[in-house]
Amino acid sequence: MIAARAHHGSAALRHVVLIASSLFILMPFVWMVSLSIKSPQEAFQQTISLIPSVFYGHENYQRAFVDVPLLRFMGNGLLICISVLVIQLAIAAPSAYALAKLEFRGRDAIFAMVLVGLLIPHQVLAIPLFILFNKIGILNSYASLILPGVISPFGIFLLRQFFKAVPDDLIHAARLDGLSELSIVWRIMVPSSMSAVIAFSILSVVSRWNDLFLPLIFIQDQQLLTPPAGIMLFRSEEAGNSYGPLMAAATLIVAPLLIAFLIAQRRFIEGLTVSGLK
Amino acid sequence: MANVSATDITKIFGGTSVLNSVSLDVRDGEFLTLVGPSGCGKSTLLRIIAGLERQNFGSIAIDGKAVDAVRPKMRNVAMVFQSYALYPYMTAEENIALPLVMRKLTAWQRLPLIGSWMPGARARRAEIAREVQDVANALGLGPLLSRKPSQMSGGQRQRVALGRAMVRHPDVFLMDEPLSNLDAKLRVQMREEITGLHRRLGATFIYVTHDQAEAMTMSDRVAVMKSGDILQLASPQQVYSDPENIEVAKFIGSPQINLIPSIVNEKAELEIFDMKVAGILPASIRPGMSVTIGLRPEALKLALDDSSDGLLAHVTYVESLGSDSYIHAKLVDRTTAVIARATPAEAATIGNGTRVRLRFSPKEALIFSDNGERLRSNNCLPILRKVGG
Amino acid sequence: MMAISTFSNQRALQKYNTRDTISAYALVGPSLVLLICLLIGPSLAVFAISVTNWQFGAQSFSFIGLQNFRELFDDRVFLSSLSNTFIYVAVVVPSVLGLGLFVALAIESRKEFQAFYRAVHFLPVMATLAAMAIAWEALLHPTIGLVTRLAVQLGLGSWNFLHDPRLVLATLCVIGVWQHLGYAMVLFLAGLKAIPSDLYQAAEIDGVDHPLDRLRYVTLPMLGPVIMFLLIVITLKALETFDTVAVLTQGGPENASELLLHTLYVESFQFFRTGYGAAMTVVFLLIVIAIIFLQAKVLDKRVHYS
Ligand SMILES: Nc1ncnc2c1ncn2[C@@H]1O[C@H](COP(=O)(O)OP(=O)(O)OP(=O)(O)O)[C@@H](O)[C@H]1O
Ligand SMILES: [Mg+2]
Repeated sequence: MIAARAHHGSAALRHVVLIASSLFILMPFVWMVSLSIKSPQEAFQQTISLIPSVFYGHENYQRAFVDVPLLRFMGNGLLICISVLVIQLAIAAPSAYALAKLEFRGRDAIFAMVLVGLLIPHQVLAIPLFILFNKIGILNSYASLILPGVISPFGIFLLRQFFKAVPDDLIHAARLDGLSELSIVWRIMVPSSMSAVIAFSILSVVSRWNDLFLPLIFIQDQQLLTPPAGIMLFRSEEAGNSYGPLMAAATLIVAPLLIAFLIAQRRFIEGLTVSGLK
Repeated sequence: MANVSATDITKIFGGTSVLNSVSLDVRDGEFLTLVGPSGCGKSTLLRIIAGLERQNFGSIAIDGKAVDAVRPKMRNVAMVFQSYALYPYMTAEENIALPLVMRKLTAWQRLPLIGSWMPGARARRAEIAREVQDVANALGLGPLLSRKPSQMSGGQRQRVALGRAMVRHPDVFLMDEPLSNLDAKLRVQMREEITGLHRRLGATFIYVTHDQAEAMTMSDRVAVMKSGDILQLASPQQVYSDPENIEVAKFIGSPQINLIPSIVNEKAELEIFDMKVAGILPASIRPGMSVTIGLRPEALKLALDDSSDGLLAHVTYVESLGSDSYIHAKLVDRTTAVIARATPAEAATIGNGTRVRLRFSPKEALIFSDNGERLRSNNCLPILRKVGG
Repeated sequence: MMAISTFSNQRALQKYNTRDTISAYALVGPSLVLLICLLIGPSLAVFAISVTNWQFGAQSFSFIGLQNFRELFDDRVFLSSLSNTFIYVAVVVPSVLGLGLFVALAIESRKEFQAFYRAVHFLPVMATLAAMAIAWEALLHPTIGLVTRLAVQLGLGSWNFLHDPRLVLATLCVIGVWQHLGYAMVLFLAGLKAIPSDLYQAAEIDGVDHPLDRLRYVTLPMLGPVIMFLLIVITLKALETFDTVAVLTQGGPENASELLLHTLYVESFQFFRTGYGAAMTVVFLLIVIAIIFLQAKVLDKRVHYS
């Protein structure tokens, strides 16, 4: 009996603790959505309420699209995420295969370079890349946002770890069947390491979509901004007097990844764990 | 030292009962083995005795005192796990020392860094180190003490796990398939070490295995379990030659006991195909009943076809093991398969397809009713005497 | 005859091997070129630029040795940025690991609502930080902020979290913890799942039955590799904090929230002091490398890897 009660006690305590930390986590999301559907007058009222008395979401969300080219920003973000991901995979998978399964002189040196690349924070590259891009005239273009991302030491490393686990016999059988090395990569290695490919894709898209540093440095043209830089622009233009549309824009920018996460929660979390614990 | 008794232990996992009111008395200093097929509840019973799992009904007593409300730590039992469950981040020495550290040092003395400055801590630590050393020497672990489990072989890990159990001189040792992860040769060697340990320590051992060779060679008594019940609790010899029911007979013995269907005729004789056997039936048996006859392979003696008695059989396969041979054969119904043990000399005279007669002494036939109960011929001796006199 | 045939055989084999090697180089080639052009080369270039007085757009520049670095350590903004960054890392990393483990243990301890709590705590990891920083601003806003209003209503006075030099760094720290907590939690949850229950049972028999003892003798050592990994990753993430500063404070007020990456950004890309910015980048890179090596050397010995 006592044990049973202690059990209930600990269950209740667990919920108290977790609900408290959940509130802390959710607070900015809730306030953001709440303000995005409030009228300006109500936003500045001193009472605390999450749900507005007058639903003003329609106006706010409409203005978010009108005041700045939000749709354009999101399109830019999507374009860049997808281009980077496709090029990253196209480049990383073959080299991960070579590093995992082929013997050749210099392999260890190249792998060491990959590991060094893994440790370099990409912000370190900002100045030299800025100069380089200026030289070749691609500053302020999609290319300047795509190019820094195309080589992913992390992607090479992760895929190599998974490719190493593919049995050699499978590769030998494929060679006997007449597959070229490149088609071994795409028809054998990648399909049998799908969980790593998906994990990497998720991480790549998430970090690209959310990145503020590169667009802030490389892009001046408003039409080329990605969502994070776009919302900064929006905020400086509105200068703090219309929170509703700003919050609506923020909600719209955050929404795609969060919705994708809620739909494929297990995949996202597995992906993160896979990449974290190798 | 202590005896262990489990009374009417019932354990229910998610609506299904995995132990059905099991009772078990383990005597002080006894080596008792729980055997049974996978999933029959052996580990669960062991964990309940250790206090790691809580029974739904029933009671556990150690040394006559109920321990149902006592934490595992205080039950003075030690346990050796199938996976050894060594702490991978601790050396062998630290693994063995932990039970003593937890018991002999106060929480203050166990604090990292400052713990060793607490009064008395150093003396206690030294004492623990000495005891660990003693145990390590007894198990031949001396040179391995500073290694981590990942740097040891299976047998060495096994010994560290034993050391961790021995170091605090518990009254009761619980072992859950401790040898199942070792290769065959090492298993035989460790079997001897564990029985030797039991003799030296004189503690009560409860040992789980599904390897019947272990059960037969190591134990004072064997408890045969099946789907949450103890079917029989007796000496190894007894569960082999005098099983309580057909399940025990089937589980114990390798190759398996031969089971042959049979009918009781009007003259109260057993009719086994073309053979009639008189005088071994219990009085309670009525004509027309069908029963099953159990015969161990060594109870079946090979005779040639032209001999008058015995079961007629066709040899299907002769399996030679060097010292012995097993003759696989089909009885006249062409479906009942039997195995007989033969000497190599006997086996040399026959081959596939040979017709043989399998003779047996009625005394060695075990009779089971349709529901698997053993039918004992208590009145078998009087009948024989009558015949003889 | 024999000699010739082995010789030609040798040749054939060699050709075969060469073909293999060529295809291997063809496969790694693109990566190698890009790795050198876009990662290794530029990183080395930073060192070269850092010893010049180059200003972006200027016609000429000259070699000035370590003068940029000397100037850095006289630069009040940089120095406060450096110390702010250390404080930020020193607060955020232990908090994220501690709270992440705490939340993971709480979630793992029972079955109910596991997936729900996990999802909630993970949301900030996914959410675009620049946008969420704006949401935080609205939350902490002196007039429309929920938190400030609550503080007033609870009689705690009025606070200006983002414009008070004594509060602003702490506020950024809280947002940093908010952002990274879920990441640590998810990895801890995976680590906890991987601990065999046998080990807990053995420990219980050995007398480890107080929850804190269990944590110390089983859970934490078994989580060693995860803790090690998180320590490095969260430290790096904290060092790289940029978005919250850029959106919320621009380093102000009075440089109280200046963090390394933001200072670097301002010097390099708003003032276009390229050589000076490169020197700052070098310092940043050296700190990153030092931390990785330090943690790998010091902690690796104390962690068990199975
Ligand atoms: N924690 C649990 N939750 C639900 N069912 C369980 C649990 N532990 C054991 N069981 C079930 O209880 C039954 C008995 O399990 P137990 O581990 O005692 O078997 P066992 O005799 O030790 O088998 P084995 O020889 O395979 O180790 C099994 O059917 C098992 O599925
Ligand atoms: Mg078991």
